[in-house]
This record gives sequence, structure tokens and C-alpha cells, in this order.
Amino acid sequence: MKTVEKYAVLVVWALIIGFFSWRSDAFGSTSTVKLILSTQTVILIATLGVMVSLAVQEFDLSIGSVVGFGGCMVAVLDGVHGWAPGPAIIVSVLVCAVFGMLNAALSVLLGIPSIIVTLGTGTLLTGITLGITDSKVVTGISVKTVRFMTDPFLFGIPAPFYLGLLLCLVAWFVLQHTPLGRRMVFIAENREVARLAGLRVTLIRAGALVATATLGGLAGIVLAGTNSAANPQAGSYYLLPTFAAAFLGSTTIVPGRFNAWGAFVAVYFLTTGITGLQYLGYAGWPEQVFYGGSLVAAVTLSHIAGHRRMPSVA
Amino acid sequence: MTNVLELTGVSKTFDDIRVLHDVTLAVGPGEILGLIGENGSGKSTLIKILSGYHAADPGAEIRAGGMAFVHQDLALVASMTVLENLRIARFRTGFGWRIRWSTERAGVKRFLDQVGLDVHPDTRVGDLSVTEQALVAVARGLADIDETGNGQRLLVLDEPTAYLPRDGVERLFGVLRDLTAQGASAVFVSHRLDEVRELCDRVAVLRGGELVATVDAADKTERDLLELMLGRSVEDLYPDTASPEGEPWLTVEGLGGGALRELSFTARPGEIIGFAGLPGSGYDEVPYLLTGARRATGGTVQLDDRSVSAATLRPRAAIDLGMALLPADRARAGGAAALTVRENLTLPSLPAFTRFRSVVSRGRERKVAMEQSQRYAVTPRRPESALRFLSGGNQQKVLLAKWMLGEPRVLALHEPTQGVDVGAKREIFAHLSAAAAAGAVVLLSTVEHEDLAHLCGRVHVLRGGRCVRVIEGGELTPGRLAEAVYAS
Repeated sequence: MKTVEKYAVLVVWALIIGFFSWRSDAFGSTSTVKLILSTQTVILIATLGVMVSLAVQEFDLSIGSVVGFGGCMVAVLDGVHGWAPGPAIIVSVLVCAVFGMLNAALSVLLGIPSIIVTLGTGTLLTGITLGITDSKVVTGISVKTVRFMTDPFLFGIPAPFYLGLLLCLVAWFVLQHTPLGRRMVFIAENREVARLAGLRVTLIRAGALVATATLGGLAGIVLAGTNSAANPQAGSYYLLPTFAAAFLGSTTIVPGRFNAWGAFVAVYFLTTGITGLQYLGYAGWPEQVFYGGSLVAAVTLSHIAGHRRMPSVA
Repeated sequence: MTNVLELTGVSKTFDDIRVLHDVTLAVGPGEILGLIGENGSGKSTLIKILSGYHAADPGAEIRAGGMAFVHQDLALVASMTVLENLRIARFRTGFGWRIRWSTERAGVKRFLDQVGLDVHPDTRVGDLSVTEQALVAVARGLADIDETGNGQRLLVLDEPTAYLPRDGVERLFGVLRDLTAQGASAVFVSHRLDEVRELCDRVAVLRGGELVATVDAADKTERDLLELMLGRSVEDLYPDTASPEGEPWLTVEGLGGGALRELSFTARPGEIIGFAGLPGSGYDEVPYLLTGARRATGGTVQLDDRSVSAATLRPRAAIDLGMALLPADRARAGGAAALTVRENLTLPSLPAFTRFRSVVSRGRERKVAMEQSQRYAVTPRRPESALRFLSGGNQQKVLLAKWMLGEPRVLALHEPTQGVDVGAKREIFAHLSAAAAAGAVVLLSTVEHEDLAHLCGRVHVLRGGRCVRVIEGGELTPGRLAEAVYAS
């Protein structure tokens, strides 16, 4: 039973790959694999981001806004103000981290539920993004950045994918093999028990929210670099896929816990389904249906399996 | 007169394991039946079958009239009014589905009168005392029965006294006796054998899923009931405790916070010290204030040669000083129910289970979890199962084992045997005594005067947030303690 639970998503993934390869000749090719692996890095990194907060029972709804902001910030610094790529990227990520500190201060120090705080701060940040870009798409990102993000790096897949893979590795190690990861699980399961065991609950919760915003910013930079432009409206798209993948990921590999490889599998599982449907000629609707449907399915399955991992809002 | 509840041949099997075997029993009108049994005896399963949560195995026959349940946690919504809690599912509505408030109020008042509660139906439940809340839960039970029943009334009370002060228990019992005098019946489930004897007419004893005896309460002593429950004669529940010598090494001065105003005491290594009092006297604040779990308003704690201000003490610092706290609320503050026994055990001492101070070694964790499970007789001995799958007594043993891993020098406990069966209780006492013998200071806050009298070398009786009496030596008996606690 436990094994079934562990690998159910992998099995279904294999089944849909089989199905689409059977129905569409174009689907079963290395170019499809490359396409899928190259285009989903933004979602992968942002999913790892929300997963870190979810792992301590915090909901960061500002993730989409941070992705959008991070991309626009780097585009404005690099493309408009002519900063060198390195400093532009570093400053953008740092500003996102500071935004995470704002989320942490409000929800952890003042005790306002993070789901409400980030709903507000996220909207605020989207407004700022529209302000700094004059509500227009920003172009002019230096060629060096764009080429790094889009040129094949290994096996024909660009470097950001490997960055995402590396981040998965780090998240896997921290969550599953360090005392910090174990402590995060306790904070999520029973904050009072964690506090009485002498854990630095406040620091860890705050750190998780800062990590989420930082990873969100990084995802935004990858987005802008890959597109060689930043759209101030782009961020809102990323809220649903990341939560869907994080929750779906928590039902597999290590069922009942938010885990890195589960999230990895979930991101590419969802993309496979959407890409496959597009190959069969369905356009437009599959994404919403897939992401929305799997979020609900993941949470429901997890609930039925008896893992009460739903963050409490109150 | 026909019986209010009749069970014939009730069995229950989970995954091939039979947890209830052929239980047959009846409750007559006006009768209070006690239901006792160790954790794991099938008691909870039987209650859940009555409430319809579990279905009995085929072949069982259950006949019941109007029945209502009052659970330990009362299942009341504190932020809503008494009226809303009683009527939430059954509001009578008039034109435009408007709730007929005046009719509702009068109806509710009738049930409140039956339990002798003189509160306005619009009072918020959260503003009532715990005793009054328990009575509201009983009133709701009566109201529910009235709605559905056929004239027969049976209240099933599952550990209703767990959170009640002594006078509240008496008041509840008075109400139950009045109700049964008017023909209602009750099933009373409790770990507290003295209360079972005091209240019930007959007592049904479950052991290992079987109904081993149904006896008249008046004929049996507490010890008789205990032996029926355990199926063997009771060795002494309490271990021998030696009175230690030596210099005091824990000195607490002017400790205050919450209901506690000012408490000072000293303790020598190996001493077991009790704290007793009525609710609100502050006796139950001591373990929490001392270990930084609740913020103290003042006082100093001196351990060995290190002195700290209690107001700045936090759990982390307290643990570093060598203190450990076993809180009363197992579910909310004791352990994480969904996580494994192993994970719960190693939480406070996790750094000791790492390689290179950064990688948790699950192998080492497993080994120690196995050892601790064995040492503390945790059954089932499965460190990888979630804590919530263990019975209350076994959970408590795990949580005690968790803190003992850090070899604390001061072990502070609040109601360590609440909701714990007698077997586990004896084991926990033996471990406390062993910890003291190894040189730890054990501080015990509890309402169980019997336990205090047998385990402690000295008991501080608190009233109004201050220590009004210290009882020790030959004077330390349950009776004397009760006198000191209830004397006003």
C-alpha cells in the first residue's frame, strides 16, 4: 500500500507518456523531451520555492507576483539602465529576498496568517512591477544573459534546467537529511511541540518565507532571460502551477510530506499531460484543467490517505 | 420496563484483528452503567459502535432508544452562544426561514433547567466555566434525544470528568443522579475508578476485547475493579522511593506568572516534589513557568551554580540548563501525532544523531528508538509507526522516553498519567522514581492526591498563587492532602 502510494504518480506518468506516444507520432521523440525539460524550469524553481514555505505550514500566495517582479526588475536594471548582467541579477534576487522578509515580518513576527499577508503583499508587488515597467513589456536584456538561459548546455538542454536540478538536490538534502528538515516537519505538524523542544520556530518559519521569495525571484530571472523580455503581467500565471505541483508532489516519493523529488516529478508530470494534449490538437483549455484538476485531486487523495497536511488558515 | 440499550453478540474486527468479541450487555431505565477497561481493551471501539462511527461485525444486535453522547472534549463551539450550540442543527423557523428566537430560547431554557444551569441562553459558551460547559454538553444531549427519541433517554458520557475540578465533578454527578431519578439512563466511561464506584449502579469491565464481568458497584472496592480490569492482582502501583540527602541544587525564588504569584522552593538531587491545589491556585503553572514554556513575570531559577531570570527563560535555554517538560496536553503540546515514534523520540536531541553535525543518521535513530521502546515497554514496538496509532499510555511512555534521552537534571511534569491506563501508569511512576534515583529532580503537578502522596517526598499546596502549606513525612497522605487543598 505504501509502495503504491509512493510510486502512483510515476506509474500514471508512464501511462500518459505511453498513451500520447501511441496517439501522436510527433510526441514520442527526443525533441519533445527536450522541449518539456527546457521550458518548465521557471515552474520547477518556483515550485521548490512554495514547497519550502508549505513544508512549514505557510502559504505564500505572492509567488506569482515575485516571479513577475524578479523578471521585470532584472530587465529594467539590465535592459533599461544598462547594468552588467551579474549585478543586475544579484540585486534583483536580493530585493526579492527583502520582500520575503516583509512577508516573514508580518506573518511570523506579527502573527498574521501568511495566506492573507501574501495575498496582500503579492498584489502590492504586482502594482510595483507595473509601476517600474510603465505597464509595458521590457526588452533589451543583454545577449549574454539570454544566451546563457537558452543555449544548449548539456544533452541539448539549456543551463537553467540543471540549475533547477541542483536546487532539487539541495532541497532534497536539506528537507530529508538534515536536522533543519526534520525540524521543519515538526513545525508543520505541531508548532507547540516544536517550540517546547527548543526549536527556533520563528527563525525557521521566517527563513522559509525568505527562501520562497528568493527562489521566486530566481525563477523570474530565468523567465525574463529565456524570453529575452519581461512582461509585467506574466507573474499571475505561475500561482496555480506551482501550488498544483507542490501539492501533487507531496503525494508521491515521500507521501504525506512536501518533498523535492515529488515536486520535480509533479512539475514534469503535469507538463507532459498538457504538452501531450496540445500535440493531439487541443489548445487553450488543457492547462487550466490540468493544473486546477490536479491541485484538487492531490489535496483530496492526500486527505483520503490520511495525511492531514492542509495548512490551517486560522 | 424494557431496557434502554441492549447489545447482543457485538464483535468488531479490523484487518483480521478482533478488537471486540461477543459483547452482550444491557442498560435498564434509571440505571447508570460504568464502563471500564485499560487502553486497548476495546472500550473506545464499543463507544464508536454505539455512536455509529464504526459498524459492528455482522451478527450483532443493537437495540437503543434515544441516545446522546458527551465526549471528553465536549464538542462545543466556544465562540457561539449556549442556544446556538444546542440548536444549531435544528432551528425552528417561521416565515421566510426566520429563526423563531423566542420559541428557541424557551425550549433551551427547559433543558438548561434539567441540568440545573442558570445561565442565559445567549451567553457565549466560552464565557462559562468548564463545569458549566460540561453541563451545557449534557443539556445538548438531552435536547438531541428529545428531538429524536421515543421517550427513552440514554446519555453516553466518555471521560466527561477529565478536565473538571472536583466540585465540578460533584455537580455533574448530582445532575446525573437527578436525571436518572426521572427515568433517564447513562453509560459512564472513565479511567477514574473512584468516580465510577461513586456514581454507577453496575460496572461493566472490558479486557482484551471481551466483557469479563458486570458487577454491582456497591459490592466492589476500587482495588477489586482494578484487578478485574487488569486480570491479575495488583502489585503495588507505586515504586519505593528513597529520600535523598545532599545539598540543594535547584533553587527557585519568587517564581510568578499566570495564576502563580510567588513560589519559592529548593530541591536536592533525587527529590520528587509535588505541587497540588485547586484550579486557579497556580499549582499547574509551575512546570511550564520553570521550563520557559510559558512566560514568567518574575523570579529566578538557580540550578547548580547557574542562575537565570525566569522571565527571560525560553524552552531552548531551559533545555540547555538540563530541564525537561512533559506537558499535560499530549495532543497539542506533547508529541506530533502524525509523525513516527522515532521522529518524536529524537526531536529534542537531534544533533546527537547527526554525522558531520549536519546529516541525520536514520540508522542511529532507529537503533536508539528501538532501545528506548524496549526500555519504556512501548507496545507495539514499532518505531516507524505514527505516534497516533499508539494508545494514550504508550504515547505518554514515548514522550517520557523522548525527554529522558537528554538525561535531564530537572524533570517537570503536569498530569503525566491523565488518560493513561493503570499498567502504563505504574510503569511511568517506576521511570520517574528511577530518574530520581539517578539524581534528577522530579517536579510533579497533578490533581491525583493518591499519586502525590505515594511518590513525592514533599508536596507544596498552593492557594491564590502562593504556597500555603508544605506537607511531608508521615503527614503526607491522600486524605491530608485533600484537606489542605480543599480547605478554604
